Amino acid sequence: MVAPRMTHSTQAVLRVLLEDPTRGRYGLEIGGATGLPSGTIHPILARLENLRWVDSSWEEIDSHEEGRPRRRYYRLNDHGIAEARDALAQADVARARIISRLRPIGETT
Amino acid sequence: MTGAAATPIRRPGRLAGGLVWLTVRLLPPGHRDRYSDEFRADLCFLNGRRQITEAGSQLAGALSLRHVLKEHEMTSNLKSAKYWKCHLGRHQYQLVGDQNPENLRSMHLECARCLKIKEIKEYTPSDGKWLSGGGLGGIAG
Repeated sequence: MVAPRMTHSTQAVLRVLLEDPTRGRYGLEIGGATGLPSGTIHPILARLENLRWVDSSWEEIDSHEEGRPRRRYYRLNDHGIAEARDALAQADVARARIISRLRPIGETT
Repeated sequence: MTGAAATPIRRPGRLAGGLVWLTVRLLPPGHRDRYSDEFRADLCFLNGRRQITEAGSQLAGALSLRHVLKEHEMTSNLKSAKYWKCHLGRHQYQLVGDQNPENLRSMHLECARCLKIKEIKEYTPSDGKWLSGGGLGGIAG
């Protein structure tokens, strides 16, 4: 299985997309939910799209009528949901393992 | 899906629009239109100062996005370029050892591009007499 590098940013994006996998979200919205800047969000979304975890589609509006360009919505597909849950679970296990090895400062042995 | 935002729509200002233009210029040509629309759509829901911050952030991530898009283009191009000769039946066979541990001495021909294995026809001498005639039969005779 090919998986993206599970950085904190990637994990945050996946967690937001997993909150309601049926709902598409646009870049700015994901940025708002994760607290990450747009410049970080879009490369992650592109990478997830390349891996075919995420599907994207244009907003269904008439851009002339609305007076603005269409938004691009991102949504995890079925394959992506399963892979993202697996990858996040593995990342959580790895984090828990690291935390369990940490000791308070000053403690020996 | 439709945009349900009640936020007033503001066209990107000159500076923000310029930053988006610059960001999009840094991306591979095939992706420029898509990201131009996408970035501008996001800016439409922000006020002037936030538009500039957002556009600056998009510019800061442009090289990273370019890298991801290029990487994907390269891998997809590589896949198609790799096999066209094989589609024409022009495989690049090379001798490869068998990975089966019980049969390590066995070798076969495998295409380096598409991994097709060539059937090896075992050598069967057409004239049995030639071998046997030059061997014991000849001495005995």
